[in-house]
Amino acid sequence: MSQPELHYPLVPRGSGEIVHATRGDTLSDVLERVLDKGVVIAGDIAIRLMDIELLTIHIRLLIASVEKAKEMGIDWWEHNPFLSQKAREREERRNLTEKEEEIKALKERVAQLESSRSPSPLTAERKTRKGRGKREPEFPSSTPVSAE
Amino acid sequence: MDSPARRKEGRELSLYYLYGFSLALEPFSLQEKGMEGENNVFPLSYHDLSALVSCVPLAVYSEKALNESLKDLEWLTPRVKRHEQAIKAAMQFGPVIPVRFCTLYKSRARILEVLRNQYEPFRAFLSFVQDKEEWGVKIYMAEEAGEKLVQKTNPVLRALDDRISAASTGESYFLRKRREQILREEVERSIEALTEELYAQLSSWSVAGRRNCVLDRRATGRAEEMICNAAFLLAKEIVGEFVEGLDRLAVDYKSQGLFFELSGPWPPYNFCPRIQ
Repeated sequence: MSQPELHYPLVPRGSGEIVHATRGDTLSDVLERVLDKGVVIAGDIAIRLMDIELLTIHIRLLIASVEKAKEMGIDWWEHNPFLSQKAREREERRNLTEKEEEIKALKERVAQLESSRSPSPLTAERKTRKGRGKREPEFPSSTPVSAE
Repeated sequence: MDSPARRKEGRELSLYYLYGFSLALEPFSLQEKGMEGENNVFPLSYHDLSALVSCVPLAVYSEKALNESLKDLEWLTPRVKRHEQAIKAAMQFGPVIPVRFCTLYKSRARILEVLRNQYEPFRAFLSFVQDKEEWGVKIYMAEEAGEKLVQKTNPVLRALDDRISAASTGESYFLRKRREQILREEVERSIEALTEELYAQLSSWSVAGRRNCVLDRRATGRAEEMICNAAFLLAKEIVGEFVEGLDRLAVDYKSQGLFFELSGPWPPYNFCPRIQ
């Protein structure tokens, strides 16, 4: 009983003050309890808790960083598609825009290729490789495949 | 007593969200806002037992809507917090039995039925935890600490080291492989032994204890590995002593790379009675 006094010159006994351990009522603690513990009684609404494990992992992932993120004023989880419906919608919109751009780029490329039918050094090299030409669907008519 | 919000919303349009059970409270005691940030939490009572509820819109809490929303962490997270806050608010008046997130009822009659059916076990448990609190302790270990714990002292590893230095190249390769495996096993074993010892020490203060699954590093966001995730049910008058004891352990085990994290007081989530 005397030795601990050496460790705690500033803390009177019985005060329950914490100095060396950390105090953490984190959101993670709350989630762990509210979602996983407590009395389970049958309610009138059946909720699917089957994927609770997966859910918990992701929530924990989320909160592990949210608190840090909050300190830094970053809301990265809003942009993580797994984590939010809104972010998912944004993601879908972005995918759509990307697809449109991709199509546009492809069209340009096709137009470019059609306008210049002369074989480039690349296609010339391909001609020398036997059998490879058959697998090039991009130029079915314009690329003369090596004779077989 | 119906809340004004409920009267306004009409019978079919809302559900009762249940937070937990407490000793009978006055309807006006709780000022805490409910799940949707409106509709106060209020008690429905049977004898001296209260169910703590608030009204929530059916449109949001129907099976279909809910099972969809539960996947949306932006929706879920603040509500989990509100659930906890409602229980914490009620804890100011006395012991509370917390209920699992999203327990919903269609009518007051159904809740009164639960109160009636579970009156005995709930009432008994509330008396039991009246003078107790749940506290959480998480213990973390620095990355290399586990190996340090084993490396120097383990006789099997020491013997292997001697053989490795004397062995031919080919043989030493296999010996090193074996050493790695033994090291891993030994690290695991000594961490478990240490954790068990610490848990036993902390348990000596508690009425009941429980070791939960440790969380992944990705989930804790810490560089150290969690080696213990425990909950203890403590008599209120012993809490100060417990906290000091924990702090003492934090000092004693600092050199071994251990960190202690304390949380609480919680409602007795981990020690609730099981019901059918």
